[in-house]
Amino acid sequence: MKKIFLTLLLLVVCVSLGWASGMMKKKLPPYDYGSVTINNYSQQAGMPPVQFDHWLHRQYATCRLCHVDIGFGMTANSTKIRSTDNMKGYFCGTCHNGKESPVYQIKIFDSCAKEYKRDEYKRCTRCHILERSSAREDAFERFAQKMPRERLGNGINWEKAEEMGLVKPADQLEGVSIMKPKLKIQQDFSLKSKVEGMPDIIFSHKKHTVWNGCELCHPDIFVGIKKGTTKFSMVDIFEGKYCGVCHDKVAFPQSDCARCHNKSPQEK
Amino acid sequence: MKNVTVTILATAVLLFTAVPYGNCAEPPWRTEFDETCAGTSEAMALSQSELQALIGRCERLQKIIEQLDESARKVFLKRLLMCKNLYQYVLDAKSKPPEPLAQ
Amino acid sequence: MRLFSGTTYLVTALLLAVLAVSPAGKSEAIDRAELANVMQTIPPNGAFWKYGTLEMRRKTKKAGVTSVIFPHWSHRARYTCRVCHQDLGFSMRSGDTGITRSQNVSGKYCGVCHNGVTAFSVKDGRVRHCDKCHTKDTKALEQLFESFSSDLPFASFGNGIDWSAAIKAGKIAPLNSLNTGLPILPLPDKLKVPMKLGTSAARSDVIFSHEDHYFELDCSACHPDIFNIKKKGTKAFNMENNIYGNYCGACHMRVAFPMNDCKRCHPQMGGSYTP
Repeated sequence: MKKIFLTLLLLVVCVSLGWASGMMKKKLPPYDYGSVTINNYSQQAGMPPVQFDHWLHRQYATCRLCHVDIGFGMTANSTKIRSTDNMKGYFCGTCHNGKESPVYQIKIFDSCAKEYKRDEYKRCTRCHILERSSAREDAFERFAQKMPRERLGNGINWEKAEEMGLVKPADQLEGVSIMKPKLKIQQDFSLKSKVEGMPDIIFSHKKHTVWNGCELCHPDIFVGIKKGTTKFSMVDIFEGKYCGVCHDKVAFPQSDCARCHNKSPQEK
Repeated sequence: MKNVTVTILATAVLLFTAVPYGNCAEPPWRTEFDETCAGTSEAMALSQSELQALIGRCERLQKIIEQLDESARKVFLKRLLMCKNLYQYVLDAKSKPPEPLAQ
Repeated sequence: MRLFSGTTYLVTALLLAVLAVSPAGKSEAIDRAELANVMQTIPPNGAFWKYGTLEMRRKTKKAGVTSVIFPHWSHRARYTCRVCHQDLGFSMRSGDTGITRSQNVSGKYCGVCHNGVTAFSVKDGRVRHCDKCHTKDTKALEQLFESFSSDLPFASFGNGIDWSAAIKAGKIAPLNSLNTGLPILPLPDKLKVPMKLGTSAARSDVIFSHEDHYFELDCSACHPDIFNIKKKGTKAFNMENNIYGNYCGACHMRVAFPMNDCKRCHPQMGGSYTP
């Protein structure tokens, strides 16, 4: 009987997978684009999962600061943040320590605590979000209104916002980062598209190094260093490899074709 | 009485570990880490022997960092590996004979 | 007793099966009931003006106002699908966009054009246009459709309009962008050649034109979610899945011409359906 049950279950899974192909993906509302649910240990500790918004944080810090210096992994469940880590001043606790931040000149609320009273629980729920509230959406709307618009992703052109000085993400944090001179900019290069007539891709090291450091992409994401050593296609990118590690999850989505395929064939 | 001692001890431990990024004198491994991994932004400009030396320092550091408490180990092992892998990656690229230009 | 426990097992399994299927089935593609609804709006069962005309009631119901009747036909004569679904952020899945009045009033979604300049305004003014969208009585809309469609090439399915013929004949000229200066990719030559998709019988082979679709949409409207671009990667691409809203059925059952217009895609299957 158990066998029948299992077979049936397997059949059902297969059917629903079959059904799932060929359909439009759910379109996330702009305020949810790049939001991450962190639930490695929260629920076992009796807390709702953490709802992390990339849009809120990337106005203050570059990708590099958090993903290299503070040590947050780039893939789900790779970091395994514990409240004790935060309490010791690692991960979220690096900035969220209840003290005046020397970089931002604001007091950043404290992260986790071993014990908390009823009135302190409100602070917990700033990250461990109990239920969706429109306040989060409103905060996003207010922020997005001041930013250069973009049609996809979260509707904000971050590249422009940084250029215009509307956001000034910090790249180093005293006592955490290794204080070193800013990266020497590598040259931009073009990547030939596979289909004749499709505009080539201009890869701008400059645009990427504003937010990143070498070690974030090399060698984990892009193994080849010599031009042409890392061969990849749109299929790989769609599957979340290479450019797809960031683009489609936090950075502007892949559906914005012309943002990368922008070298007109005549310019070759 | 025993309770009080435990509390004091716990507070002391907490205080000691709570400020890993404080301005007080950093442990020697941290200074070594900062120096070793400071070269990531100019890795392309380093010579093969310099890179090899840095990788060696990373490997020695790894042994020390593996002994740290869980939180520090998580953070610094990740940071160290990122920097070591980058050095290795640049070294590999430099030691390979230049490929014929295929375009 | 043994039999009884066996049956209980089976019932549980079936129940689980239904539970497992329903979230994927119901929220993603259309189910049987929804398909039946669609079929009723498709001629010969329903009126031409109703095809591709949506009723939006998620937000209105909560607010206690009349639901919005949105006719695709009046909009697609003026703009390509790309403009609203890719530039303005309207999702193609019902319920995803969550349009609110405040968004419209602040110049998003409908408010991009419905601003009193391009089209009647969503804002309160001396003349209020509420009932133009929050339509209780559709008579005026039906009349509008009559006069609108009278001069356009006829098709016996969908809106009763052959939209692509209308474009080719210059009867309508939908704009492809709102002059936002966004680059539009050129379509590579290789993709301009119509593709022949083989089927089990030569008579039912499909001719697919990237070019015709690209006129209305960007690559990312279909790739990779609806059609992934792996060679032989599109599995279960059959008529039934299509009819239930997958693949071509994502558009060609509710807005673009419906799939009972067989010969539009299977050119050699013409004949029997021509009026």
